[in-house]
Amino acid sequence: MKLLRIFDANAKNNWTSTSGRRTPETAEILRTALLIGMTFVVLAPVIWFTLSSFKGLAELGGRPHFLPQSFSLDNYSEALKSYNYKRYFFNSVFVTTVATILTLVINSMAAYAFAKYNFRGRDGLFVLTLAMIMIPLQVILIPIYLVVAQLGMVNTYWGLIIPAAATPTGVFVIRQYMLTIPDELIESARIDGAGEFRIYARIVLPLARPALAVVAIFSILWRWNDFIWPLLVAQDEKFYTLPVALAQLNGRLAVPTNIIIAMSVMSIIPVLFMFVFMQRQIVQGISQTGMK
Amino acid sequence: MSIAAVRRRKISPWPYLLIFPSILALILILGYPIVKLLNLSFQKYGLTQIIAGRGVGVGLKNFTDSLSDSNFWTILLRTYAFTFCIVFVTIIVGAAMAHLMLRMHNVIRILLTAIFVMVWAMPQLVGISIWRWLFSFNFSIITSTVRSLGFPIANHNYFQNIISGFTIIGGCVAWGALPFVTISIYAALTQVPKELIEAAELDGATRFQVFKNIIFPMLFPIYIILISLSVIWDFQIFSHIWVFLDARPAPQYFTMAIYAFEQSFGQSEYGKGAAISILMIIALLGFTGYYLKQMVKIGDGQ
Repeated sequence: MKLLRIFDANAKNNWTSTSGRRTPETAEILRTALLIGMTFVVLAPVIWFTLSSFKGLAELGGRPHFLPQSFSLDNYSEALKSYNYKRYFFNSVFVTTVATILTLVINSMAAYAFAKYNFRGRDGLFVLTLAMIMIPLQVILIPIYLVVAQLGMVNTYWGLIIPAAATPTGVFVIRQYMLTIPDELIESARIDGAGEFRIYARIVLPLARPALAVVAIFSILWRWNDFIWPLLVAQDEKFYTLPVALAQLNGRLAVPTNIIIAMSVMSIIPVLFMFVFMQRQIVQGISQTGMK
Repeated sequence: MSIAAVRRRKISPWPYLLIFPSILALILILGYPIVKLLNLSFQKYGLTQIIAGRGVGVGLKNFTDSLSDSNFWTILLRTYAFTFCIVFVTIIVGAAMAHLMLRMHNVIRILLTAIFVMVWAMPQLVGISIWRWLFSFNFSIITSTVRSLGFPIANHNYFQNIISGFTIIGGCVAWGALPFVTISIYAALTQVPKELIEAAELDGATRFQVFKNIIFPMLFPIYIILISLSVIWDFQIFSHIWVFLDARPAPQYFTMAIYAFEQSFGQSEYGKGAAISILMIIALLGFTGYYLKQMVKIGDGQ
């Protein structure tokens, strides 16, 4: 009888749950399988890359295998030993942190003005800001470089940090969120005698936290991975950030592929940690910003 | 009474003070270079002019030359098509994954988010290098996997045919964009009140009706933002094509960004390159004009 039941096509399910909960439906299983399949496609390149960081140079140059034939940490130790990795790492962290703070401060100020004040030229300036998102960096590289050079910012931390503050996307995202803060709140604070700056710093900023989180995440990611810009400004090895160091290695006559892979993997780890810890804020921030 | 009404009566210095730092940075870093670019686009500026240190004014010649060149239109059309395909695939797959994620168990969901985040956190250059490696001529893991499955295929140049080449490059772009799109749509979906959907289902609405009448309208703003940002980013794709094709892309792989760059730095026709860049920005503005208007409007009229 039991056997018959298993092959009974009319039975709703051909399986039972081992956990004692309700048995999953066919559609549910298909959905899960589909999602896992898609996720694997997304993830596969990353896994393969990470595995490759344990392979020797000879193996990397030969026929590709998914798993390392001989597992070794040599690439990592060599990257740490023979290159000024600590310096690059410090530069990346320093530039990313300061640039992100600067971006948040000036972008939120501008966003507040665009969202909550009515002033001559507001719409024009805002559209202009938005239009700036569309300028491809590589076509204006030379003039940008000239500006930075004229300001004496080549081979300085300021040169790496200041241009990052010109992030029109940040102004836009924060402004959209601030539109949802009720005007009455600001009005009543004003009636209570709060100064304009106090209203911005004490009332508007805390309320805009989700949008600030989103911009912070984007900014950290962009600055950490920025490549074209630092390549221009950081000509002295002292100011190399991780991507610049990687690009320089890539440009050598004999490309040390194994070192590049190991350094790349190491450069992802800090951002990854930040993301995993901030996962909840990321999802919350995006959902609250996007929906309003 | 709105703030707007109160503020209109006297001119306050506050808004100007608040926007000053951002606007200054924008003008310095983007505005001034654009003016330079515009200026350059009205000049003949080649190697001779570089040596002389000054260009020769030619009026609109660079623009009319480009616009009457059939190459320009082919490349523009190709760029539009490329952008459209990538954005379409990214949004559809992203939305599908977000909807699937919503139905998953919590543990799986957190795991998935972590994976997406991992791809998201990957530097663009590293991501491109990985993909390039996946499809390289000699060491392609794809080719060797197929071979180890028992099909004796030879080393294959995936970029010989531009359709397959653009598919791979586009796949890489979409892959990089997918985490952000999926997480954004997922995040937005969690904000749709469950009661609303349940009520609709009780009233006999089909799943499609629920999606069309409840979920989609609520998610409309986020779709607008995602689509417009994707269009802007994908239209400007440069590094992907550049890196995939060893910094020497064949003319049939030119998109607007590559074309402008190649005219300037390859042909040393900086004036013409500048004109093409300007035309490219105009083409993008025309394409995103509607979305831009929506973006300014969102929340504005409410």
